This record gives sequence, C-alpha cells and structure tokens, in this order.
Amino acid sequence: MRSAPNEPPEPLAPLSRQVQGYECEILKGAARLLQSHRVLALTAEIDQKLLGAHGCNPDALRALIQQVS
Amino acid sequence: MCLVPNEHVSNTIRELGHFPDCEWLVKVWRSHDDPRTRGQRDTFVDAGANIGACSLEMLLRTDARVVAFEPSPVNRFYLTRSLRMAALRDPSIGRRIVVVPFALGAHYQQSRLQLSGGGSKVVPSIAAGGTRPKATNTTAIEMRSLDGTLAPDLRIRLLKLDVSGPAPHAVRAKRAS
Repeated sequence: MRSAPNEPPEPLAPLSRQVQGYECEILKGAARLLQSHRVLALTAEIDQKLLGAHGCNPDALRALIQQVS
Repeated sequence: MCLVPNEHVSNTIRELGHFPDCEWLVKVWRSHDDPRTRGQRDTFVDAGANIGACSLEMLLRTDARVVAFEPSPVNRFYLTRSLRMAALRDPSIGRRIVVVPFALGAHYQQSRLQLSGGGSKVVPSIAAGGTRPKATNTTAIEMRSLDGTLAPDLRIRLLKLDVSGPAPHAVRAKRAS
C-alpha cells in the first residue's frame, strides 16, 4: 500500500459515506433487473437512521426485495 | 493502492493490509460459483465503490468482471489510480472493470453531491427538484437507475450496496432459477 502520488483534483475532506440510506431508492430503480433473476446475491449494509432519513426502514427494504425478486 | 489520509476505509487498509468487509464479499462470490455456468464470466456490481477497496479485492482474488459506480470525483481519483497501479502488474485488470461516474437512484435525475464534512451525500433539495443549495464543496452529478444503466444480458453474481460500515448484512442471497 502507498499513498497517492499526486494531490486529488479538489482540496476536499476525506470521503467515506457511499450509498447509505439510498438502498430503497436504488432497488426501486432495479426492479426489472431483480425480476429477471439475473442477480444471484445481494448484500447491503443497513443503517436504520440513514434509511429513515430517506423515508425507508429495514422491513420496507426487505419487503421491496421480496416484492421485486 | 492509493489511500486517503485520515479516512476509515483507508486507515483500515493501512492497518490490516486489506478491508475485511471486502474479504467477506469474496466468500459470498465463491459460494455462488456454479460449475454449470463456469466459463461464463459473471459480474460484480459495486454500488458505492468509494476508493475501490472491494472492487480491487474482487479483481485480484476472483475472475469477476466489475462495474463500479462512484459519483464522487475525489473517490474516483483514488480508485482509478489504484486501478492503474494494479494494471501495471496485471493488464487484464483494466479490461475487467468499468468505472461509472453516476450515483444510483430510482430514476434519472441531475443532482449535486456534497463533498465536505467527512462524507459525501446527495444534496436533498436538489435531489427532490428543489432550489439550489448553498454550494460549497458540492459537485454536479447524475443519478441513474440500475435498470437504465446495466446491459440487459449481464449476469450479476453479486450486487453490493455499500459494505463500508461496521458489519455487512446479507439481505438476501438466492440462486438463479
């Protein structure tokens, strides 16, 4: 491992958050893909607080997956 | 690998030499190996690739094709440099990955990504079609759906929606019929 040889393009703070909280939205946009049975496995990190901030919760997320797959 | 100063994923890789959650993904990938379809190259979709810790681990330890979604230009800076370094050792790596500069959502929309405060997140008022926020350390991005982005013939052995946190949970794993 070694650090970046150059500076990043913008002087910004470190980034760590990815798609947390948007899982439900992403799965709504993947309905056809999941219904096609072309996805063998799906993993997601569930953060109730972040899901809630986007109008979702773990039960709704599970229901969404079961509904579309 | 190119690492970010003082950031959780990078700090963990510095300390351990890898990011443990990504190792778990390799196990999930291998557990879904199907001898009947061996020879067909399956795809790993990394929705929220960050600096590419898991994408790289999958490229180095499996035969996966990788589609890595990462809207942040800063994260992509680190991700693409790591890929270049890896491709110097193994040129096939560069042929097995596509880095997609979109955020994922339910449908297409233009938005802005907030890059300050130790994380990146979509600015809600713009995502909802509202007014422009106080724009400091934000960048314009496109949000697209997986249905609108992925090729219809792609066989996805594993779709990862963010495993950067403390413990990944398998929401569901199923065999294709």
